[in-house]
Amino acid sequence: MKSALMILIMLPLFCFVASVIFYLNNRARYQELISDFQQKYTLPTPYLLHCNMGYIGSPLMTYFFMRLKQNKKILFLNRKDNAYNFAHEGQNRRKIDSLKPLYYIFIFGFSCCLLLSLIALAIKLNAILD
Amino acid sequence: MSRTLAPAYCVVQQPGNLGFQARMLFNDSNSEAARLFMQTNADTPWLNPGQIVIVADPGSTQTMQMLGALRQAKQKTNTAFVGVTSDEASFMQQHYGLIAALTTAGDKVFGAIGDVGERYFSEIENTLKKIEVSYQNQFRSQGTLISQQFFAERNQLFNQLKELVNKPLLKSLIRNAVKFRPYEDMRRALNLSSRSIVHEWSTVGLAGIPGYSSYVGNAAKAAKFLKSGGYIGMGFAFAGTTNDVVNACVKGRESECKRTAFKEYGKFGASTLAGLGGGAAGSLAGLGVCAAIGIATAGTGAVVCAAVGSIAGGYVGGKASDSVMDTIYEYMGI
Repeated sequence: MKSALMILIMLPLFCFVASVIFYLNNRARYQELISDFQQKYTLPTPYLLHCNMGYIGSPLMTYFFMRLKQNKKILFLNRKDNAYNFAHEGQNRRKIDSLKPLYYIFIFGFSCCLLLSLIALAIKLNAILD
Repeated sequence: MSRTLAPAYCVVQQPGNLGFQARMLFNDSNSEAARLFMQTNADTPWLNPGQIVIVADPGSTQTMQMLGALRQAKQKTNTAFVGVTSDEASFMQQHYGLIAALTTAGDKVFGAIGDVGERYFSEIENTLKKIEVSYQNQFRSQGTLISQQFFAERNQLFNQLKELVNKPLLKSLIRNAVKFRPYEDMRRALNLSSRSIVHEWSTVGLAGIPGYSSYVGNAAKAAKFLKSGGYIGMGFAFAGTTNDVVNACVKGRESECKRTAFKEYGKFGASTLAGLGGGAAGSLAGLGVCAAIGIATAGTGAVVCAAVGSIAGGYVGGKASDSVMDTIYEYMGI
């Protein structure tokens, strides 16, 4: 149990390091994608803020582009907005695909953090019940 | 026949010398208007994005007052760009509205708020400065960021900041989006290229009227802050963590060194990632809350909501993660 917990504790750090390395390697493509989008469409407010924040804004931006590619509803972007067509224009789908690993690294890292929170909650509850 | 077109200004979009700006601006760079442009702006041989150039109609009778006011505003804007690189200027020029909304220039941008706004934004600025000084003092004097006194001081300052951003003043921001109207008459009369956007002289920001030059100074400074602020925060956290580990390795036994490294880096990774996630979620939640209380989901007010939500979300995420890790470490006995 403790060994598994030790591995789980280190996973967010590995995800963080991996995401930084991946972001730095793909920064040009990431920025090109944002710039391509902004040439044709307007980014909704939270994404407009985060697209200027470099690596720190990349979790929200990767979420935005992945949802666009999957043609799923994006928060604060009207379902009827033409921006939903962006992923299906030209080479955009391929460009979004290149961000896929970054997106999944973040999802995995956040899930580990969530799992750690649930474990901490269980520990606290156990202590209270005991 | 003489025309009556008031002089105008144009915000530079790309870095380059005056000749380059003339070619960008005029369809015919040898025209009389282009020559007057070169003459009027001869004081700025090189221009960065965000600076302004004066565009005047040679066929109109210029009033000296208008040209004088424009020259004054131009000088003020140029002074604000001293020490700002082309990249930073370009970033600022593209996002000055957003940046200004996040800085103490807010009181100037949102002119309608007046004195109350000025005090409000000054208070936020002062609290942020105190937090910064508190970090610097602690790090300089102790080499770490872990003393109880520091935590108490920091908490007090963050509470002050929370109180400030929770004030209902935010609701009124939406009324005050600044709009610049392109000066179409001037564009047509001087045969300017369709890429250029020319603004009528009175919008430049004179004698207390909020305009472009009124907040460009603070916005230019904030461009640096916005881009690098988050990285500095992470850098501080990493430096603090490494400092603890190095201390343990120098002073303690080998097992103590490994234990501290595992514990502190694990905590750093989790809190950084939780802070990033919290920031992203907080931004969406902040905008959601503002939408619920009647602030639209677009415009400057909305940007402030998203930014405040992001900062709060990141902070809460990081703190919650620290608490989670402490509970788990306690359970594991490390």
